[in-house]
Amino acid sequence: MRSGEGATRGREHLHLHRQRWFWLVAAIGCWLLALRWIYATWYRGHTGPTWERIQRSGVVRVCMDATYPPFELQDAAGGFSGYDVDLAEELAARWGVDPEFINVHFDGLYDALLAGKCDLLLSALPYDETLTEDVLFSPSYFNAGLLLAIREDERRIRNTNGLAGRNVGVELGTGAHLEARRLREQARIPLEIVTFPSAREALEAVRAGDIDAAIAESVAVYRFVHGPGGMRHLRKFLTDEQYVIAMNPHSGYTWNMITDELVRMQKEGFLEALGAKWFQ
Amino acid sequence: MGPPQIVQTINPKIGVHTRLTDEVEEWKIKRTLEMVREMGASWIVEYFPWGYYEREKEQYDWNHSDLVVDHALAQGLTVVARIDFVPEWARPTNTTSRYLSEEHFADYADFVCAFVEHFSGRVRHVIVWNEPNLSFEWGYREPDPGAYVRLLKATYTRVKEVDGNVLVLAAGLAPTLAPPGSEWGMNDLEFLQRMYEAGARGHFDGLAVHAYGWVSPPDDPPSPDVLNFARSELIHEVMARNGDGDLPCFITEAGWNDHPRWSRAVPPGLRIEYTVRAYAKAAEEWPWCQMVAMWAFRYPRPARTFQDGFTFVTPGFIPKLIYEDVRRYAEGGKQTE
Repeated sequence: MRSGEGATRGREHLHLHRQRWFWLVAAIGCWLLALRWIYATWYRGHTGPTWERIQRSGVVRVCMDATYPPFELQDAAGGFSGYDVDLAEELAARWGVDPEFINVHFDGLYDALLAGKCDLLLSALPYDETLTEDVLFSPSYFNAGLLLAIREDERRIRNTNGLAGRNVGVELGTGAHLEARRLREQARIPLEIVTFPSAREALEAVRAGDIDAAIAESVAVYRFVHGPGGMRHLRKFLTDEQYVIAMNPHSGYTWNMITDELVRMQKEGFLEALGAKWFQ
Repeated sequence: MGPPQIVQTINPKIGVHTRLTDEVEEWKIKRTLEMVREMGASWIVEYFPWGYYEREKEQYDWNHSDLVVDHALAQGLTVVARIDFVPEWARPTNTTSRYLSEEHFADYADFVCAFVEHFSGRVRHVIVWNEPNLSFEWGYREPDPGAYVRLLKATYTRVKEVDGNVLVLAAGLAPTLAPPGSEWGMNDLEFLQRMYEAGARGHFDGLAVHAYGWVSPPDDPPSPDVLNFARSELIHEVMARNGDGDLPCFITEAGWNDHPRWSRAVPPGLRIEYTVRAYAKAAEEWPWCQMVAMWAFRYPRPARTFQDGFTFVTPGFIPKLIYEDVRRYAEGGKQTE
């Protein structure tokens, strides 16, 4: 009988053991279902309508005023190209969706965004601190401010103080002209301002040795420095004009995604490569 | 307010369109108008939105407009008042501030009368509405010269009852080559002719004119199929053909733009050259033109659009080169080379 009792206890033990496993697996299953439900609810609540729309449709709609090369331009066939177009395509690729470009006059960009015509504004758009209650702005991806261009062999001009007694070229009547006058009149750097009909002519005069330096927008400087050679620019910007991406105010998750990607693009050298492509 | 000033200028037709409607701080209003005077401009055109000053029927609040007008007068400037912007109580819901129905024409005329009475002896020029040949400015309705003339007549009659010395100016028309039947607007020359056909003659003392140069020099000749500064001559010819050749024109919006990203802009150097030449042209060649007000002297804050390329002074009161060259011209000097 002992052996019979032992067999009975063994069966009971096995049964209990199976029951424990059953409840353990059931509990884990319930937890997984609960976690899935919680994640789905959180995701819906936190990704926001912009990200959901992009993911649902597989398309990110980008509004731009495609009249501003090298940032954006539309050809006769309707094709878009430029720095911002490449940036939007890269963002879309990293998100696994397709970009759709919508050409909107510059004055209508914000209205188009707020009316839901697009998900992002990516259009050499300057940061505007007066609109931060109306839209979300990404961190800057490009500074279109003013730079100081000098000859490659110029060693004495290390900052704006080095402009004392020097001839500085600017395009007549532009922001660069105002900045040169600010340096002379407010910062009291005794520089000589030489005006030219265009920024390019001012930069050419530097290269030719006719003047010592030129102030111009970064795009003009990058193009010139990368072009004929013999020129460089000081790293520090004289003024800032930060280009940003704008989203509607309910796009916090999309803002995070853009910010993360811009950081990665910066680290990976993608933005630098983009500059090299479009400003050479 | 400071002591009364006098504008020193060789060209008394120099004017600018200021944008002080949304300028809150008094010192900024004062500084703006000081700079206008120091540039050598004798005239300002300023926008006085009806809806801001009569939020409820016959409840007027002139505080802000008093500031603007009194500071302008203290600087020795002549004020031309553009009046439009319908208050909510005078229009149906879901309409824009440009929508004025015929049943409220009398309300508009009443407001202009109240304005004229309040500013009696201070403001002597009022403009009845703005660009009524554009659908947008006519409340997204088809532009209607006949209806506009009825508004003009109603206003003119009422103003003259109050103050016969005030000049009532018909609205500046938007220069446009809109084809017949366009949903967006009506050709300005045609609109003006149709105003005369609707009986406008005798119901305005002068005409406001909008004369943007876009990319053309001010001396480019006028042509009905071209938009340029000299299109003003064609506007005046329409007036002359209808027996109003002796009425004065007031160019209340004009100018060139030097914004780097606008397709209708010119380089800053050309903008300066064209602007100075336009002022001189009005003085030398257009006796029928009383003044030229360039759009726009300064904005309270950056527009961050091509509109910033129209200004003479930054929101922070930094004068652009165009400001200094106009000032030099007004003093009788030469432009920057």
